[in-house]
Amino acid sequence: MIYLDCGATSLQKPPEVAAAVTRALKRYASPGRGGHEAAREAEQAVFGCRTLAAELFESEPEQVVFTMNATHALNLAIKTLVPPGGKAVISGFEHNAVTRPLHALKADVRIAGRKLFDQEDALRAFRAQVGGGEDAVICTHVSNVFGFRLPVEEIASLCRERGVPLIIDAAQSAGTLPLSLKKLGAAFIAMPGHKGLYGPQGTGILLCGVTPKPLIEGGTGSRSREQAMPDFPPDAGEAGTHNVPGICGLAEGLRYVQRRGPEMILRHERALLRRMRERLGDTPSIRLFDGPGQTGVLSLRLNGRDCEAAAAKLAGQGVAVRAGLHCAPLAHESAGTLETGTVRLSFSDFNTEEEIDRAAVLLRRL
Amino acid sequence: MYYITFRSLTRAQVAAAVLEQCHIPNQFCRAPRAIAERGCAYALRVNGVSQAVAALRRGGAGFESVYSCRGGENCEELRL
Repeated sequence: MIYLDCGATSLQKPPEVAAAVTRALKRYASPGRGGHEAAREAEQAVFGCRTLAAELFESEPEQVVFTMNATHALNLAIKTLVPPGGKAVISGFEHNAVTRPLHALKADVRIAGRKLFDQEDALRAFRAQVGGGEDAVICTHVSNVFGFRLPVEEIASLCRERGVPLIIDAAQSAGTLPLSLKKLGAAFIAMPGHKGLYGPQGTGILLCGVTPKPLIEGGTGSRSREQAMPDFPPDAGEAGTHNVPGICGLAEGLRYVQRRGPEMILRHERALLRRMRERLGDTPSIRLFDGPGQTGVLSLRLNGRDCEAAAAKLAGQGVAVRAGLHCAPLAHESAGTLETGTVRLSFSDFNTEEEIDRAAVLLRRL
Repeated sequence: MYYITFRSLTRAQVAAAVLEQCHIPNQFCRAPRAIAERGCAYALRVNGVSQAVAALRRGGAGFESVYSCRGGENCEELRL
C-alpha cells in the first residue's frame, strides 16, 4: 500500500515505537499508583516522555499534559479559557476539534482570515478582530486540509500585545515546524501524538502556559485526601490512569523526530509535495490547491468526479488518501470547496519518491 | 534521614533530576503516611538536607516541606 493519509494518522512508524508499546504492556504498571518496581518503571518511562516533549517544544516537564489526542487537548484548552457564552476569535481554517467545543459553549465566535495561502490576509484579519476583550484566540498552525501555514508567530505576538490568551492547534505541524511554548508565549499548544510525532493512536499532548481546568475529575495519585482536583499541571489535566503503552511509544516517536530533526522532516515532505505537484500540475482534469509555504499536505479536486468515489478507486488500487471534508467544513467553506470536498494527500518522513510517482500515475488515470 | 516532599509526582521527578545534576544523592519514594497529610504524596530521601534544599531553590524546583524522620515514622517538620 502507498499510504498518503498521514494528516489523519501516520501509519509507518519507527520500529522502536511498537517495541516500546509491547515492552510497556509487559512490564509497566501505572505512574503514581504504587511504590513497587512496575509502578516505578512506569513513572520513569512517562517522565522520560514528558522530558523529551518539553525539550522538543521548549517548555518544562510539568507543562506537558498527556491527552488522548489533539481533540482532547483542544477541548481541555478551550474549556479552560472560554466560558459558556464567551468570546473567541478563530482562523477561517479551523478543524471541528475547535469549532464544535465553541459551538457547545455557545461562544460568540468571530472568524479571521479566509483567503487560502494568504498569510498577510490572515494577519490583517486577526489584527482587526482581536480587540483585547476576547477570552481566547484559537489558530491552527497548519490547515489539515490544505497544508496552508498560518502566521502563528505574528498572531502570538499580537495576542501578547493585546493581552488575549492564544491556543495553537499544532495537529499538522508538531514534528515538522518549530514550536516553542516559551517563545510563542501561548496559553496552550495542542498536538496529537499519532501524526507527525510518530506515536501510537490514543496519544496527544497539551503544552500548558497556564494551568488547565480539569475536563474530567478523578484519581491523580496526588493529594488524595482532597476532593478538589489538584490545581496545578500536569495533574489538573491528567485524571485517571495514563495510557502508559501509548506514551512509551510516543517517547520513541519523539526520539525519532529529535534525532532526524523537524527541519529535515519538513524538507523531505516538501520535496515530496513538490514532486507530486510537478507530476500532476499539467493534468487538465485535476485542480491542485497549492500555495507558498505549504507543508506536506496537498488537496486536489478531480473535475467531474466525486472525491469519495475517486478516493475509493485509489484505495482499490492500493493508494490510501482521504476524501471529503476532513472534519474541517470551515476550512472548506473558506476555500470554496464545501460542496465538493477534496481528495487530500498527506505525506510523512517515511514516504518515498517512488511512491509519489506511482500514486501520481494512478491519479492522472482517474 | 530527611524527606523533602512535593506537590506532585512530576514535580518530585523534576527535583530528583535537579539533585542528580548537582551530584547530590537522593532516593525517590512515596511519602510516608506520617508526612502525607493531604493524601498520596512524593518525596526525595536525602542525607545532606541543606545542600539539597539549596540546590532545589537554585534549580527552581519548588518543594512543599522538609522533614526529619526516624525510621520513616517519627517525623518533625524543619523550617529551612
